Order: sequence, then C-alpha cells, then structure tokens
Amino acid sequence: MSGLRLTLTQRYALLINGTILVVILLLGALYLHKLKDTSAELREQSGGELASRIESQLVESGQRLADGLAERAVNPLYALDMRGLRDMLIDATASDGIEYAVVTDPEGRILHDGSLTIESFGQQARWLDVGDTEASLARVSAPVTLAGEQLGAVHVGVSLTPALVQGERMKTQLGELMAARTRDMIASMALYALVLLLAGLLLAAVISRRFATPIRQLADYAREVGRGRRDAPPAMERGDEIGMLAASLDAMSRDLRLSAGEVDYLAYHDSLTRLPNRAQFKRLLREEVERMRGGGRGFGVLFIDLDQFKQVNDTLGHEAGDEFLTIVANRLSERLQTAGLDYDGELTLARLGGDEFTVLARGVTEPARGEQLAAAVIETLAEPIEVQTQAFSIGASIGITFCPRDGDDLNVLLRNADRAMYRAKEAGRNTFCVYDRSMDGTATRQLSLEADLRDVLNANDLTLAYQPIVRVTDGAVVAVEALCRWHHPVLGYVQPSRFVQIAEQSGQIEHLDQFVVSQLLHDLSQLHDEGFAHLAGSANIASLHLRKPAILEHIAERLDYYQLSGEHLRIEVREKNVMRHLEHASVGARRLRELGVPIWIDDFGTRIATLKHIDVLPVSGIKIHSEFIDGISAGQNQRVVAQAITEMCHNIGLPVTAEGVEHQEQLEYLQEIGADFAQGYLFARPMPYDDLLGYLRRQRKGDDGRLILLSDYVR
Amino acid sequence: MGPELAKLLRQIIAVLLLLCATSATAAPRVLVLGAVHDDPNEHYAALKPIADYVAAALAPTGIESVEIVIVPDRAQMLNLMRDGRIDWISETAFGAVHLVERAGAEFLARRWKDGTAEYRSLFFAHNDSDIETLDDLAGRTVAFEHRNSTSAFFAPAVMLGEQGLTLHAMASPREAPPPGSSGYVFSGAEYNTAVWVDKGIVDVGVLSESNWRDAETVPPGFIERFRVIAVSEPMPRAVEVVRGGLDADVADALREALFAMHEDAAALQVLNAFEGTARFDALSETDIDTLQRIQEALPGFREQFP
Repeated sequence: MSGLRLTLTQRYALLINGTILVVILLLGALYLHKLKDTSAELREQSGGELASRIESQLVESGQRLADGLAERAVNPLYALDMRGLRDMLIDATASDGIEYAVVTDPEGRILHDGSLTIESFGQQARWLDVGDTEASLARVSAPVTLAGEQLGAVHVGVSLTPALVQGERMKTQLGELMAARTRDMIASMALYALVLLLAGLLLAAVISRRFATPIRQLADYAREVGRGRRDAPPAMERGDEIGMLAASLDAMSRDLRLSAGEVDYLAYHDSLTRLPNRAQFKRLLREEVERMRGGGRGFGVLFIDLDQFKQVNDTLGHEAGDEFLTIVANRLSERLQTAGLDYDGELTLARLGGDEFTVLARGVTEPARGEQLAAAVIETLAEPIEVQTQAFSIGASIGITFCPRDGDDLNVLLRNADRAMYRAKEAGRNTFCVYDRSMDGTATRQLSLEADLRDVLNANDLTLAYQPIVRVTDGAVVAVEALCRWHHPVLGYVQPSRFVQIAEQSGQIEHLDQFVVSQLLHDLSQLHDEGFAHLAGSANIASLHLRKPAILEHIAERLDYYQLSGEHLRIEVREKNVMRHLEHASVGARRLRELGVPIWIDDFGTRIATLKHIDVLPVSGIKIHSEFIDGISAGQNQRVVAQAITEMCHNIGLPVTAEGVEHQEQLEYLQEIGADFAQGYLFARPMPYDDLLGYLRRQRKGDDGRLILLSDYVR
Repeated sequence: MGPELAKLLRQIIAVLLLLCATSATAAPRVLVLGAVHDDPNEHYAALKPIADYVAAALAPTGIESVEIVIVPDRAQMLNLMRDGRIDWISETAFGAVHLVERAGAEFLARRWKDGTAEYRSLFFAHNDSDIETLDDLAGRTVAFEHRNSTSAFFAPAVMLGEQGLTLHAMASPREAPPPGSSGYVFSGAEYNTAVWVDKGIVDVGVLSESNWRDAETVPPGFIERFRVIAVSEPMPRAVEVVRGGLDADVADALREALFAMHEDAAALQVLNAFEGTARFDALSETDIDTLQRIQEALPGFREQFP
C-alpha cells in the first residue's frame, strides 16, 4: 500500500464495499451452483417423465387405432377385399406417428401393408422392418374377429420419436427457462449489489464525515505545527479516540511551544555549563563588531585556557572533568557578575569547548581594565576546586585583545586572543598577556604545530615508514619497524621526537599511538596477503604509561580486526621509559602479555637501572642503542659494550637487535658476537609501504616463510 | 284451423294437382334419361350437361326438356323401362342386351366411353403358375370382378362356358373348387383381382383392357409378373338404348344429335364431362354380332350363374 495513498474514506469505502461484494459473490455463486444442480436434475426428470407420458399416450392411441382398424377390417378381411384393406390402411398410416399399419392372417402373415403392390405380403408382421430403431417404436396389435373366430389381426407401429423429441424439447425448453432464470437472478443480484454498494458508499461517506473529517483536520493541524504553528488545535468535544488524539495533539503542541525555545537555547549554549557556546559567542562578537563599525564603542576579548585541566580529566575521568568545568563556569560567572566587574551586564562569559572560556567585555578598551578582569579570573580560579573529594588547584592562561585597537575582524580578534593566551602559557602559565603585534611571528609556532598535529591526526594525514629488521646470520628480513613521518605543508619534515613531544604535551599522544598501531597492522595484514606472512611489525608506543591506556584495547581490537596474532606485533618502549611503563603489575604490561604481544626495549644500554633489573622486566628482547653500534668501528670500548650486552641478554634468554648498522664491518662484528638481528642503512633506510613491498620482493632470499619467534632465540 | 276446413283444403289441393298432371302429359314433352348408379349425386353432374344439350337439340321435335332419373340397380331400371318411365339409357353391352331382351328396348348408338369404342377382356395368370391357356383352368379358381360387370364377368364367363368348362361359384377364394370344375369368385374390385393373382390367392384373374392398363388397378410391379393367357372378342365400350315405345322421330332426332356432337365444338366439353366420351356413332357389324351372341348366351348364362 506504500505506493497507493488512500484516505480513510476510501479505505472505509473499499472495506465496506469489498465485504459486500464478497458476501454477494459468495451467496450468488452458492445459489447459482444450487440452481444449476436443481435445474439439471429437473430437466432430466421432467424431460424423462414427459417422454414416458407421451409415450404411453402414443401407445394408447396406437392401440385405439389398431382396435378401430380391427373392426373396420372385419368385412374386407372376410372378403379379402384388398382395396378395402388398402383404403383403410392408407387412412391409418396417414395419421401422424403411425410408422406402419398392416393386416395379417391368423398366423400373423401380412395380407396387406397399405401399399399398392404389398411387397411385404406373407411376411411375419412382427418382423416388419421399419426405418426406425426399436427403441423409438411401439408395436401394438388387435385381433380381427368375426363371430368369435379370428380372421386375422391388425398391427400398428407407433413411432415414439415424438415422445422422445418432446422430451428433449422439454429438456431444452427447461434449460432455456433455467438459463433465463439464472440471467434474471444475476441481473437482480447485480442490482442488489449496486444498491448495496451505493449504500456502502453512503455509509463510508457518513463514517468519513464522522471520523475522517476531524482526523484530517487534526492531520492538517499537525502539519501546521510542524511548520511552526503554535496555537491550539481545532476544538474536538468528543470522548472517543479522536478526542484523545486532539487532546494529545494539543499537549504535544504545548510541549513543542516550550521545547522550541529550549532548542534555540541549546543551539547557542553549552549544554554542560549553560554558558553561551562558540557559535553564540561568535554571534555576539559579530554583533559587537558590527555595532562598533557602525560607530559604537569598542570592546575587549579575554581568551581563558585552564592550565593542567587535562590532569583532572586523566586522573578522575571525564565525569569529574565535566563537574570540574561546571564549577569553574559557575565560579567565573558569579565572580564576573559581582564584585563590581560587570557594569550594566556588559560582560558575557562563554565556553568555546574543552577547557577554553572567553569573555566578551563590552566597552572595555583599556588594557588596564582588561588586565583587571584577567587578574580577577586568575584570582577566582586560584582557590582549590574539590571534585570527588580531591582538591585541585589549577591556574589559567589568559590572552587579551581589544577591538578596534588590535583589529576589527571577528577571526582576527579570536586569533589575537589565542596568541596572547599562548604567550601567557609560555610565560609560565597562570598569568595573562595582552596581545601585541610582535606575537604574530614566531611566538606561535609551537602552538600552531600542536593545532596542526591535531588536524593532521584527525585527517589521518601522517604516514608510516618501514625499516626492515634482518637476521644477522643470513640477512633474511624478519620484521619491520614502523616509524611515524609528518610532512608539514609549511615546515616540511618534522622530527618525530618533536611531534611526539608535542603530542604528549597536548594530550594527543594516545591518538598518535592509535594511528601508528592501526596503520601498521593494516599494512602488515597486506604484507601477509602479499606472501610475507612471517613478518612481524614493530611500533613505538608512548602512551602505555597513562592511567587508562585506551591504546591497549585499540591494539586488541585491531589485531582481532585484521585476524593477526599478538606475535605479529612488537611494542618497543624506550629504555628511559621502561621503569615507568613496565613495572610488572602495570596495566599495559599485563594486557600486552594477555594479547601475546612481545615488548622490546628500545635504545638499550644507557641506563644502569634497567641493566640491573633486566632479568625481571617483562620484556621479550632488547635493541642495542645505536651509539654502541656506531662505536664498533671507532673503538674497542664500544665493541665491548655491544658484546657484553649481547652476552648478558643471551644469558637470560633475550634476543638482541642492533640498531643503526651502517657498515659491513659492523655487521661482521655483530655476527662475531652472535647478535641476533640488525637494522640500519647497511640493509635499508626507512621507506614507504610501497617501496618496502618492492624491497621485500627483491630480498626473498632466506625467507623460510616462518615467523621468527622469540623462543627460537632462547638459550 | 278446424278439421272441417283442413279436409276441404285437402280436397281442393287434390283437384288442382290432378289438373296439373293432365296438362303435363299433354303439353310439355319430356325425355327421361336414366342411369344405374349407386351415387346419384355424383353421377347427376356427369349427365346434366348432355341432358341439357340434348334437350336443346330435340326442341324442334317438341321435346322441351330432358329429365334425369338415377336408380341404384338394374332390376329397378328394368321395371321403370318396362313401365315406359325411362326413355333413354347408356349401358354396358351386357346391360344393354339385358334391357333389350327383358324390357323391349332398342339399341340406338355406340358410345366411345373413356375415348374408346371397343374393349376386350384379358385372362391373366402369375408368371410362376403353370397355366398357359384356358384349358388349364380345370381345378383352378378364377377371380371376376363383379356380377354386373360385362368385361370382368359376363363376357369372360360366357367365354369360359363356350370353352366347355364347368364353373363353380365359391364363397371364398381360398376354397378349392370341386374336382373337375373351375371355381370362380368375385373380387369386388379390379385391384383385388390383380392382388389376388399376384399373391397367389387365385390362379387366374380377368380384367378389361382399360383396367389392365390402369396403374392403379394393376401396379407396375405386378404387370411384369403377369402373363395374359386369353383375350376375349372386342365389345362395344358402351351402348345407348331407348325405350321400345319411344316416338320414332324423337329417337331419330336423338341419334342424329348424338352422332353430330363430336363435330360441334361447343359440345366437346359436354361429351367429355360424360365419362370422357369421345363421340357417339353407329354400332359396328362386329358390335351387333357380339351383342347378338351375348343375347343368345344369356339364357344359358342365367342358368349357370343364377
């Protein structure tokens, strides 16, 4: 019915008339069927009965004829008057339905058959052959007697065809009669049906008037409400479902009237703090700029960023963070509205998102007045805020800009305030800074990198490069290390150490790690599909130390997604972070062990603490710091260190990888001291995935198709 | 009306009738044409035109009209003629001889009844029978038509008598005649005669020539199965006789008128209406001879066929 839209009236008409039609058709079919049965039976019976009645009448009249002829025949028969007999028989056979009439002698031999030549003379009358079938012929006879003596007999053949014909004719006539009756009946049924259907239409119309019309009114009303109509629905004073519908529509309309305002409110206000949101702030700012341009007064903008808010979030979770933000917002609004800061409601506090707040200060064009406001904000936030029984003291970095002093464009003003805020952060946080033009150049590089990194991460625009890790004994590639690359559109190649640091500082490190893991596992899966199923992938993960490292579940989910086992992934942790990351009970170590993902220590060999505890750390292998490999060719000491580390690790069953191998000499030494794996420019530089694939194809030698497991190196 | 008055009236009427009768015999002369027929009504229509024609023709002789009297049998006719109440009659040869002999009538003319002047009788048997001639008829049965028939009884019966056969009348054709004689029966109709012979009910049948040729009497199917075994002398087909006492002038005038009819175009239709008559003419020598033989045979015949 989806394609066919029917009104209620049409549906009722269809339903009612459909029912009527079905009932009429059923009854009609039943009646017609019965009538047909009965008529067929009646025809057979009546036709048969008529035939037999006519038949007996015919036989009777034939008998009468024979009797009469027998009387008439006495004299001619006695005198053998053939002419007399002939005249008599001609008379007899002239009658309808008399097939033959003959006169016989007492022995039944024919004396006369009425013909001129009497060819049947002497034949037995009972054998007299007539053209008719026996079934349609009745033979009757009468004796011709004179004074008690039989002179002969008269035999008459009566055709029963008329009886049969009459019977058939009656059947036909009855059939026609019945057919006519049937036609009449169908016609009257059609008439009844028409009348009933008209009645049905009328009924449907009445129902429509009673129900459909108010429903349509209500539907129209509902549509109007959808378009913004807000008055009450048409009055329906009735207690039935339609009345209830009208009441519900009324209630809905009322709610809509209320919630429409709320929708407006939500569109322009932050749902958490109920402060104007970014959109509203921009709107207000735009209005203010317009007003100013139209000759109005200037205004100031304060950009407030909470320092270390991330700690609150990371420590207590988002709910606590939200609670914290709400308290901040309330405290700021109260403070701005009171204590004589807000003249005539000229200050508007807004939350742009996250831990960023702004203040639109109408009429504030003096830096001194702006600084006064900023100081008040800092002072307000200085007081510790208690969330979930923990008290936090956080500061705020505030940038201040003025219109029209620093610009009269909405975006320029926002950027200026932002830059001033970063300057304040750089100045040691928990302070404020008034914008000046000197900030436009270098000052914001770091800040813009942070923003750019966020953008590039959101857009998945970072890339991975892969450096093969080979087996020292035969140079076979056993694994690849994934290295993150960022090509900045302006700054060009950005050092990983730099952007990893930025990511850590700006809270994007987890996001970055997730990207690396996703891309690595994706590429690894493709490599496996390309026939390099033995390869493992190695990734540096920095966010393991977080309290609730989402990276762990991400790793689990991606492994599962690409149907890879944990052994295909290696997590490298830099030695300086080992103690922090990999205490035995740490969440990260425990979860990685569950997933079967081995942990390798990166840049190993520079910290005594690690060295001391290497046997108890939950690691699966170490990578010797490239410093020691470099030294292999340089001096004896470094060689010794590399050898010592290798031997020590082998002693406790850990395989060793040498990083930064660049010369053949280094390789030979590594072979000599029994190092297990090596990577470096001697074998290959880090390269994009496509190049790696080509490289691997060229280097298939030694590929035994097997994943190199750690157990192979446990001694 | 009183009885006296009724009686008086009756006497007056009787006197008036007597007067009328006297004047009729005297003044208007009437010629009476008689006929023997069992259906007067039908036969009257055949006689009426010629009666009128003759009346007109005889007017010069003083005959003013010709009356028709039809009686059912010959005996009655004989009496009427003896009484002089019938003047003229058309008869078969046998009937004419009968009247001449018993009532003193006279032959007047020959009539070509059904267009023929003379006819003969035929004896016939079934092809399957062994009868070849009349001599083979001993012990067999002959079927005549009717006692009054000239051609189908009288003439052939006379022939059989002349042949020397003894004829024995039988009640039924199925009876066998006494040894040495021939049986005879009357079939009552020419058709019956034909059927009886065809179906072997009798051995021989007798029919006039004209009946023989009539398909209604002897159907085509029959005639191939029949064999003619004897034929009689020819006889005049019909003979006109007049009362012996009839005025000779009238008789001559009548003969003259009849003889001239076939030459009178206006009379042809009148002739034809009278049993298909072609003409009237004088009896031939043979006819007279035949009639004479009949007359001679008559007494013996009456004896043999009472």
